[in-house]
Amino acid sequence: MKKHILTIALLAALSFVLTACDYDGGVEQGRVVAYEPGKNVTLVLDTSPVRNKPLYNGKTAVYKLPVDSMDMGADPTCGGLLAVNPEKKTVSVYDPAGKSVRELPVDFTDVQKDIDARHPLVAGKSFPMIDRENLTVTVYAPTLRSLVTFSPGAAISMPPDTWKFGDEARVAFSNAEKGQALRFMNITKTNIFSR
Amino acid sequence: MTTLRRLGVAVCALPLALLAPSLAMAAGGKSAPIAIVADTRFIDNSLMHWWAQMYNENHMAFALMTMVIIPVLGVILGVVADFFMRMTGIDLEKRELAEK
Amino acid sequence: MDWLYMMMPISGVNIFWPGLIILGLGVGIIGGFFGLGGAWMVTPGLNILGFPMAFAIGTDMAQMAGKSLISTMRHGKFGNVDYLLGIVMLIGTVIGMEIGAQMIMWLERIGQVDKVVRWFYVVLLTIIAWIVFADVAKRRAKEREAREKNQEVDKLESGFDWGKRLQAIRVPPMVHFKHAGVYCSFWLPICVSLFTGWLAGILGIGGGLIRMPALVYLIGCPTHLAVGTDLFEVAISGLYGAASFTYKGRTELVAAIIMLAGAAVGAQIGVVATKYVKGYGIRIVFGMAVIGCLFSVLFRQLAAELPSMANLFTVLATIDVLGLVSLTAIYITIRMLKGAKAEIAAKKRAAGN
Repeated sequence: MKKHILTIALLAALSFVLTACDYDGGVEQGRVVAYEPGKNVTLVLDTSPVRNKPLYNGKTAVYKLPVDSMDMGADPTCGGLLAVNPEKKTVSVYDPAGKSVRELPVDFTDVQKDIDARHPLVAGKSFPMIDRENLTVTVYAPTLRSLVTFSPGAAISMPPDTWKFGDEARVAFSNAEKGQALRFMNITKTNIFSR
Repeated sequence: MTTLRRLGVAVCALPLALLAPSLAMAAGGKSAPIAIVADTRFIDNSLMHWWAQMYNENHMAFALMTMVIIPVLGVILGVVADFFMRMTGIDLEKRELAEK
Repeated sequence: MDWLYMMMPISGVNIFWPGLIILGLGVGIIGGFFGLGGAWMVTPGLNILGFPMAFAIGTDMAQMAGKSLISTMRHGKFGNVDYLLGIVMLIGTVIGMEIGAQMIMWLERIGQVDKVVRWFYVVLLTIIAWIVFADVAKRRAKEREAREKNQEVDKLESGFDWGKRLQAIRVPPMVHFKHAGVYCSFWLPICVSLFTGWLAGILGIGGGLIRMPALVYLIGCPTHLAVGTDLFEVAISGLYGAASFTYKGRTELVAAIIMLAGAAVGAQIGVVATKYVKGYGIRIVFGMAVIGCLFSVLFRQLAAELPSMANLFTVLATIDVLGLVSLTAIYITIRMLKGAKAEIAAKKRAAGN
């Protein structure tokens, strides 16, 4: 009996030794603003101290993609639009030329709340809808569950992708090599609630 | 045979199960190739943080730990439950083998 | 009431943890009593708790392995586990499951596989339920016949004696499974487990639901031995399944551990209850559980075939499974408590004399 307890204890200890390395790496999350398949991905990082309340204030990071395909999630869609804020009457966009985040003052002409992704106004539609005549942009903001239309003024001349939401992604890295993603999760395209 | 020796038999039988790589798939259906990263940014508990970070950095270590934790915990819980069951005064060694 | 919710470290989802304990308790009771892994019972429960389904199978397998190990330990003490038979069956199960899984992949390339598989499942469960109840009727007929002749039926006698007939096929090497009291060709358990493994592989299930009756009706195991021996197999295959899913990153171990805490208690209740219920009692309740499972599969099939009524049938399937789990668990618990009470009272009386 004692021998068996010893064996099990040894087995347990061995696996602890094998696995109890310092997992002191970290995780970053953000919106994908640039993506080179097979090479790297650029994220504008979410620096919010609170979960599910993203704050994009300009910090960006470039990660080399994971080596193992098993660690690579669905290919992300890139876009410059980071956040819309009808209360503050601003939108945050990534400016690839200046490699910076700009908060643009806009006029919201329409905000329809409580709209989910299956709503007829959203399902099957492609966003952004840019109306060059009326100088407005319509996007669906899943985090706000809202369909919003705003007028960005002269900024409407920016490239169309500026008004498209990039996918949200999460990257795990080790401290030894911070620029190398160990795993890449496409949050927008991964529904953990369905099988 | 002691319970632990029987457990030894079970461990010996394990490689047999390892012969079939798709046993789990057969047992549990297909799983789509998705990559998941645990969000360790907001985990305060250090043990949970370590656990989730290990998940992120090393799936193999994570799987190994699971393989050890589950049976060890099973045995511990079994022994604890045994202790309490004995206190009830029920005979836990004999039963009548009868169909009707 | 924040303390009733716990954040799962991997998926980042807040889960009502007492729900996990109750679910573990329920399947622990049922699993220990029937010798089932019971994945078909756990998934709808996890769904209701808002558990992320991407982690459902791996988490379920992890708790199933631990729970079945606890139940096997308890059954082992009663002498309800034939380890040799379990190991021999494991060989066939593994190979059979592999063939089944390969076959399903081949069928998938042809298409329409889900529908075919689910109807096949319905047919199989109907057959199992029929066998269970036809066997009960046959045993009763045997009893009536014996009574007319003023005789008594052997207490290990069963209605169908397919097991005995199959045991009589003497293809060497012959093996004596002492605990199960079965002397048969080595190839009998191999063939039976190959067949049940193949079925489980095709259906994409763990296989306890098929293996337990196969042990009873085809190998000729006494019911109690079939339950214990099947649990031994569930523990091993569950552990392997858990490892595989965990390696793919699809297990929320914290949830599995919480469920295991409930299942450890449930397993005691379920296994000890088998002490107070005779083989046919177990068989009848098992037959009812199979019918419950049959209806849940039927509802899911109808939900797939009639999309306009999909929500209704999905709800019905969930109500069916959860109702079945609760009622069966309560019934088993009552039987266990009554039996234990009677035993303790008898002991006290004996001590008093």
